Amino acid sequence: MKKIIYKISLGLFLIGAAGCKKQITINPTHLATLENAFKEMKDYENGLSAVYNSMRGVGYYGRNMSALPDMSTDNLVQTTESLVNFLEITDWLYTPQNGTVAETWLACYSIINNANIIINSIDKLTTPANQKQANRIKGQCLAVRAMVHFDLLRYFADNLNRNSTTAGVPYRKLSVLEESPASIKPSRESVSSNYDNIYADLNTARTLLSDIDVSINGNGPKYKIDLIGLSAIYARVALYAKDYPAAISNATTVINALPLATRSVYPSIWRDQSNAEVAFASLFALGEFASRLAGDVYSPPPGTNRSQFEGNPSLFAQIDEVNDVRFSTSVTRGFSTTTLVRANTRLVVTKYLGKGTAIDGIVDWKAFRTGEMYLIRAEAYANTTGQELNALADLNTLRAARIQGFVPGTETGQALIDAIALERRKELFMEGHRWFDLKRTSRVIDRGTISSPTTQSQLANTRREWVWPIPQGERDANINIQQNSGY
Amino acid sequence: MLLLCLLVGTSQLWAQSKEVTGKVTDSKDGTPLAGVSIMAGGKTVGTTGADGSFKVTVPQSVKNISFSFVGYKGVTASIGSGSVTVALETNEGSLGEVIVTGYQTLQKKQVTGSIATVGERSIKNTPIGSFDQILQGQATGTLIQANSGQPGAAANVIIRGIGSVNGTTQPLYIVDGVQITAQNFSSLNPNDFESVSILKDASTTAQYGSRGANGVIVITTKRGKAGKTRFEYNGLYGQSRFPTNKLEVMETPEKLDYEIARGNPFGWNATQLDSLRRINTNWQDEITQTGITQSHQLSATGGNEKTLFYASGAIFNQSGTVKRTGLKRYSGRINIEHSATKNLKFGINSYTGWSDFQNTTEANTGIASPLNAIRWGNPYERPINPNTGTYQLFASGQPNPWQDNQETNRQTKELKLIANAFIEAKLPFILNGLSFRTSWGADYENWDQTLLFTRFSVVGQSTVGNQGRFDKDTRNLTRYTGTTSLSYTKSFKEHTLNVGIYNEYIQRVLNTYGFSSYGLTGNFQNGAGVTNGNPTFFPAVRENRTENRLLSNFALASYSFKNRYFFNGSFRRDGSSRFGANNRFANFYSVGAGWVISEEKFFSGVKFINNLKLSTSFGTVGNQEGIGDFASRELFGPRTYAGTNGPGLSQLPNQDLSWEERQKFNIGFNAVAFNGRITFGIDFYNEITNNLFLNNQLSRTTGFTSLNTNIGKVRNRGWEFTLITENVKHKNFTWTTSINFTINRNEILALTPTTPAIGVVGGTTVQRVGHPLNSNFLVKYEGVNPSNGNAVYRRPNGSLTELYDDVNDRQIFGTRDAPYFGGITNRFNYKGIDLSVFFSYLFGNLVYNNDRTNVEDPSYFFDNMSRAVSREWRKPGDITDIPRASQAMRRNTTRFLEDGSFIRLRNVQLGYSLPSKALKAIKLSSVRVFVMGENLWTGFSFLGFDPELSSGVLTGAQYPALRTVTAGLTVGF
Repeated sequence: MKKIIYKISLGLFLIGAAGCKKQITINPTHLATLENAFKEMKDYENGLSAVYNSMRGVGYYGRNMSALPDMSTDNLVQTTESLVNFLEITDWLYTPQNGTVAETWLACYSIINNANIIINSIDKLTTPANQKQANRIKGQCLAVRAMVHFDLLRYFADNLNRNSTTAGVPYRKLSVLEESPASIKPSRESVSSNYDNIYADLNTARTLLSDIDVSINGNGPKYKIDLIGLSAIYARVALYAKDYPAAISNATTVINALPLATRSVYPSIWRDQSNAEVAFASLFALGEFASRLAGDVYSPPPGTNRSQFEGNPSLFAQIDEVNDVRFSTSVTRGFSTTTLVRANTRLVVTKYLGKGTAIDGIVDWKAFRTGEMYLIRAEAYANTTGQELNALADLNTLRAARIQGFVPGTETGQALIDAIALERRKELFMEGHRWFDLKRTSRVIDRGTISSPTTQSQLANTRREWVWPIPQGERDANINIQQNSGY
Repeated sequence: MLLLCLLVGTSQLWAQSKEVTGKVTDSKDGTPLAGVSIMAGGKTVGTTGADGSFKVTVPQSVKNISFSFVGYKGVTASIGSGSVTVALETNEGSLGEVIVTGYQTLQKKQVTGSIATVGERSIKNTPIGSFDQILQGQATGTLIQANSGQPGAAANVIIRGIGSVNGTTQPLYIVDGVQITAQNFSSLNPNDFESVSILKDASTTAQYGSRGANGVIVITTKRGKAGKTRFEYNGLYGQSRFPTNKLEVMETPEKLDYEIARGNPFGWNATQLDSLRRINTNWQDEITQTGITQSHQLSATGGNEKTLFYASGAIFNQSGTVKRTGLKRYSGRINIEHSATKNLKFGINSYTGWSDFQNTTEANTGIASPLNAIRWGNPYERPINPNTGTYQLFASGQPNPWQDNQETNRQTKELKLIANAFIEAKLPFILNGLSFRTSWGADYENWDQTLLFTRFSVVGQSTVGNQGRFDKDTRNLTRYTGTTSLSYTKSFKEHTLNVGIYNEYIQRVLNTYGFSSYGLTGNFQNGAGVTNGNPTFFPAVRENRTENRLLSNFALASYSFKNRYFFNGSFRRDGSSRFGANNRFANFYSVGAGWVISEEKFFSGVKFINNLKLSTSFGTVGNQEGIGDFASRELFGPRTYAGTNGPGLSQLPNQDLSWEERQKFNIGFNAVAFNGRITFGIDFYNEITNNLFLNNQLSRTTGFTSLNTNIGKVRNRGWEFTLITENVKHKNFTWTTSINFTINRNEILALTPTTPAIGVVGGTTVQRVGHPLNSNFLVKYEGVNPSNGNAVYRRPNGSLTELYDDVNDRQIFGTRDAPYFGGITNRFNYKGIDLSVFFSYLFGNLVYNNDRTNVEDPSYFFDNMSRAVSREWRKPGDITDIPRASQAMRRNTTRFLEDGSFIRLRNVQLGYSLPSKALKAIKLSSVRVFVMGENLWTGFSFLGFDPELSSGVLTGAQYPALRTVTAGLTVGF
């Protein structure tokens, strides 16, 4: 008996000792590998979630593309409640080592990569029967790819003119899974070449999105990019490119599809109670992505109640507090969610307080709106010979929609241009425009008298900081990438 | 003589034999020791019985027999005319010492590599929740730093320098053959430990070659001792206090004066100022307390020739120095082994532990962490608003530390089961000397964490629905280890050969599950209070499962000649599921040799040296821990948007990823001189990690920052010294000193080929070829320009500048990991009184004080500030080291770099053992009473509570090491 036990044990030992590769092959159960991530068209459909999901991180709509462009300008004033986490950005002290700059660069390319994985492999599963479905998915990815490259360009390129031969950004068309990751070392293309690619992607997207199986957003909120959203992106790109005819026609498409909200409806846009005017919004919601949009400006829930920045009093002095619906929608005097008393002079930013009556700061990011489209079209008309009256008409339409008892303006020439610029500040306050609007126009910031914790008042047009540095991490890994001048 | 030997050799080996009888006892209490190995002429001739007695047959020519037993010093006794009576002393570290390496038990003489041992005496009755912390300063080459004094917190243990960047740097922990993780020490009972061996070099770690790259800590728990069943009670009670603070923050008058000098940001009027000046809250006092430690253990050991057992039960209860932190542990152990026949033995070791931790957040910069809030809260604020009776809301928006401490509960309950069973069979019917052993162990851990933020807490009010949050997370970890071996021992003449072939299989499965729920709207501030079915309080659910496996086949061989020359070697092939299909397997090997010079004839003239040994080893060991279980695969994680869940790329593939290999060379000298009065050891080691797991930096246009790749090389090279001296050895009084000292030099030899000369910069450190890992990389701060108050920096070319340039002006300033460390113990015995004084120390590292940046940044002046800020530059001509407040503070400068050196009175213990006469009178076998102090004094210059930092940076929210005074009692009966 004992001998039998010994023999069995010995046998087991020998089997064990023989070893076997199978014993140490394990497949993940809670994560997917490439073979099982995309097996059918439905997987691509779901894969779109990864693309839109990645846009909500702090490197993009979660902060750096949404709140920072106002924090770093004269639209906001940093208060003593600030945690001063972004002083390098808000006071233009950034170097290529800046973490926020690196975070933005990476976040953008991460979104682009997610889009490219779908764009470059969906054709393998596309058949005549599901062509329209494929068009719907791929078209959105192309639109995202174009838009995100454009946003990179806005921060990291110096000269944003359509034909600028100065350095733009690498335009990524392949996903990281199609090449050896370590060998990817793209150089910067010219701004003009970037525009070529952006336009090409937008045009292809338009063709694809015009021939789809089912409506992308139905009658609900426009959480994904459909033809209207695409036109809005197109209009913004064209404005920066000074491609005014395209800006006018695309803005018109959005304006016709999504008329301006009435004064009574307007505040409910910011509470996500109305879909009026919104051409594309990034969804922020409880239970899905409960991140406080603009929480670095004002984080409202009772436990926090931290007003780190307030609306610049000199801007709000130009907004009619009684009749202009945008004053009370943007800021609230002395607002507080606790027993903490704030002075009535404190213009607490309350544009993103929450959905409905909530005060948790969790609310959709309205990336494109009809209000902006009127201002794009007005600016495009104003810069087009013989169209000044149309420009004034658009400006007046917008102002009349926002201001009770508005008497139509009569600005012309430079006054009209200035009026449009001022209106952009009022209309697009805390919507991620101010930094870029200044950059593409005057390139001067003057905050006037400052107090702690702000340390810098002026940013002259000669300063290097108008263009963000290429992050040092990128430079270290990619020998081909060229730094912006001055860094 | 030689001729005689030859003649004898041809006839029956034991032809002329004699019988030797005797008894072996414990030198301390005279109790008989069972199972002691008896050796004669290089081979084992028998073991002692239950009553410690023995009867062995040895060749006539043999003059000496030696005794060895785990945990005791080996002794060689000469055979006289009568019986041999031997009293074994417990280990203090000598060449005769017996060492447990897990698979084998060796005399230190036989070891060809480097092993440090820590005896039971240093472990027992220490009022520390986590065993690894107890090891600090006890062994050479082993740098142990606790980042936290939180009850039960694990320490960071580095053996012979940091040899990995992306992989784990923690050693492998083996308890009775079962691998456990460092965190588990908080739920293990150190009083059950009999011996701890720290294996460092290639030949000793070879048997753990797939996991031993960072060294191995082998713990054996107590075995039964045959004879009358003996019981022992150990109890202790202690108190701990929070240390004094070297980073002083302002008190009310200074803070208000400072605010007013900076423009009165809160606009206090005279009346308000007057009332605020009457408040002066010391926030540290508000949330700290006197911690209480209590521990009780009862153990029993006994058995007979066939069966031995050890059983224990223990309670450990420690409250921390921060309110609402603590550890409670209940544990039990049973170790049994049984010899069924003279050839078949089996046994089981089993442990059950249940622990309950309550902790607070630490080592972060979060404003809601009470340990940050005690620094940042203004002294003119109060915990409770006297007018409303509710928590005071701070004017600055900084959360109230008292509120977060009271309204948050972080509790982890852990059930820990470790069991290991073995069958050992000698197979003389196949071949004399052949034996078979199989051992299967499981390490099981069930971890249940509750995180509660009531609706009155800052986090609870900032969370989904703003009405509190209740989180529950469970973690189920199972690790199986199966080792099966065939070994063969053969002694002939003066040769002894040991050969073993082994198969080992390890599987680790981790399941996690958890949820976050919200809306504690009612009375219940626990799970019952969660509001269900309300979309405002959407719960979130998470689950994950991950697994890895290791398969190893290896052979170990050792050979000794004349008990003087020792050789060993190993070869192994290991496969890990973590790597790409074609790179799972790798080969490792080791060779070692030892020479006991003092046994040589030519040495016999040297009388003052009793024992002298030279040993050396070389070999390779693998590392594959610390990287993800699916590290070589491309992975898509779940991504949700607008109610749809789809795959998103979360990890890049690297099919080439394979084992990290640590190449180890060791050479060491050990000497015992003047009849054991001096023991000296010196080791030199050179360890090179090849195929280092490193983040190959990628262009960020890939959407990723880096890819874990086998590139790079790092070297650790160092010297280890031990010196044990018996300064006074008198009948009634002994004084022993042990000193250990280690020098470790770490250097990066190669990085990825694409890495620029500057190296890989990460925050305030850099990894650069030719420099140690984690070198400080900062702009040199040179103080303040007296004329304008601007910060002044020194450029690498030596010139001064006011322009901060962190791209071109950063330089390397030392390393964060201490290159010099060790410990000094003095032990005194006078009759029944014993005193031990143990210091641990380290020096030569520069650490970054991030905690200071947050109280010296002038932008944060609406919260409390460091006292240093009151000397900031105000007007031209001011000579100071703090720049003007209106300039943005730069953090990545040497302004915040500090000396991390310290020497600490780690443990001082005074004990009294009752003499045997008195014991007889009260019918007990032993009684000892003691008082002990832990960390009573620390010498350091670092500006914080405590200089002991495991990562070389004080991030913030420091929970300093406990300073504890304990009184205890041990009774044996």
